[in-house]
Amino acid sequence: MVSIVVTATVTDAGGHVGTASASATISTGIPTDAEMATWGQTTSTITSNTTYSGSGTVVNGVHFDGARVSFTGTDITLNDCIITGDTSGSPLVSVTNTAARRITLNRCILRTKTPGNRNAIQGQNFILNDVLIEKTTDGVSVAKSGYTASAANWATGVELHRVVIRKLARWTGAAPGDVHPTDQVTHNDGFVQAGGSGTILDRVLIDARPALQYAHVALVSASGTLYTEAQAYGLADNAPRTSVAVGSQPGGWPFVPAWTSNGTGKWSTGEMSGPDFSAMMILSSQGPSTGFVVTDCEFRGGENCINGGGNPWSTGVASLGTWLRNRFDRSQANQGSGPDDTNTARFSGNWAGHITFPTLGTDANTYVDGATMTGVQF
Amino acid sequence: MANPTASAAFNKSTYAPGELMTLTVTHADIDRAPLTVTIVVTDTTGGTGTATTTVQIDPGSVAVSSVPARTWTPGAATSSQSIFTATA
Repeated sequence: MVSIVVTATVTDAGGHVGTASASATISTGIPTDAEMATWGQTTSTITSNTTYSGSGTVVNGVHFDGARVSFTGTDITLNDCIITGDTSGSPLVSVTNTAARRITLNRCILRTKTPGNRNAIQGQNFILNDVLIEKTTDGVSVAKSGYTASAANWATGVELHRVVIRKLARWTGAAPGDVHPTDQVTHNDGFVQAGGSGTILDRVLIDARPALQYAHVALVSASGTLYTEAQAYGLADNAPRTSVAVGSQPGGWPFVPAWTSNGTGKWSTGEMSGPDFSAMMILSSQGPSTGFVVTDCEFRGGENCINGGGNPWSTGVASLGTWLRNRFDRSQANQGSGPDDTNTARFSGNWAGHITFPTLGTDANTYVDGATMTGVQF
Repeated sequence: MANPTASAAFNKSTYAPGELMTLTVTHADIDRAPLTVTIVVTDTTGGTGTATTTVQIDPGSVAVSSVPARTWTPGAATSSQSIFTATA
C-alpha cells in the first residue's frame, strides 16, 4: 500500500488562505503476506530431483521436498508448488538447458530446506507469476548457458509478475563451489542478470536485507540470549543489533561475519544492508543488459539498491528500458550524501538519454513515502 | 478579512492502481457570502423606488496538490464545494 496525502488550499482575493488535507491508500499490486499464505497449496510430494521434458506438461500442487527441478522441454507449467532444492550448490529451479522454453511457475514458493549457497532460479525463458522466493543466496539469476559473444543482445524471455524476493541468506565463505570464492563476506542479489534484453519486472518486491536468525545473521539480546525470528524482525528501528560470533552456533554457523555496520544504527537506514547486497545487480558479462521493463515494483535495502556499475552504456548499445512508478526505500548500506541520496538507483554507466526513468510526474519513480528521488546515478 | 475554512475528503479510503480518485473540497469564507445591496430612491414627494443587486465581495480559488504527485483535474465547483479527480 502507498499512502497519498492531498492538500487543498483555498485562497481568497485578499490572499487569505485556508487549507485542508485528506489521505487515502493506493494498493501497489505487490502481493501481501496474506495473499502469499495461499500459495503453494500442495497435495503430493516428490523427494528426488526432477527434470521435465516434452511439451505442454502441467504440474499441480507438488512439494519438491529436498529436491531440485529442471526443465528441458517447452510450455511447461508448475502450479502451487513448493521447491526446496537439494544439498548441492545448484539452483532450486534450473532453466538452463538451451531447449527449455516458456517455463511458467504460478503461485509457487522457492525456499531452501537445508543450509547452503544456492540460488532460487537460474537461466532464461521462464515466467514467474505470484511466486515467493526467500532464504536463498541470490533470488533470480538470468543467464544464458553456453553464451558466446555472437549471442550478445539475446532475448532473456524472463518475466516476473507479482514476485516477492526477500530474506536473502548466505552460509559459507571461501568453500569449494562457493558463489564468491574470493572472499568471506556476504554476496547476495535479489535479482541478477548477466546480459540480454527484454526482461520484465511487474509489481515485484525485492528486499535486499539479510534474513534474520538464519545463515549468516543471528542476533542476540544484551544478555546474550538468541532472539527468535519474530523477535529479531520486531526490534525497534534503532535497537542495538549484536550478532553472535562466527562459528558459534550448532553446525558451525554463521560462517561469515553478519554485516558491516554503515554507522547509522538503524535498520531503516541500512545498518545491516552491507557489505555486498543488492536488490538488482545488472551485469554485462554476457553482452549488455538492455530493454528492461520495470514497473510498479518496490526495492529495499542493498549496499547499493540497484547496482548497474557492471553494465555501462556504450555507442551502439540499446536503451536500458522503461522504469516507471517504482518505489525505493532508504535502507541502503551506502547512504551517499544523506538520507535522500542513498544509492538507490545506481546505473552508473552513462545511461542518461538511454533509459526512461522519470523522477517527476505521474509515472515518477519515487521513494516509498512518495518523495522525489535524488541522486539517481545514470 | 477572515481566512477561508476548508475540509477535504476522498470518495474511498483505498484505490487500485489506475482507479479514478475523487476529492471533494468543502470550503467557506464569510467574506465570500454574496452581498445583497438594496437601493432605495426617494423623490421630492416622498415616493420611493427600490432595486436590489447581488455582488461577490471576495471571490477565491481552490488548488490541490498531493504526495506522491498526481495530476488533479478540477471538476464541478460551487461557492462552497469543489471537486477534483486524479488517477491512482
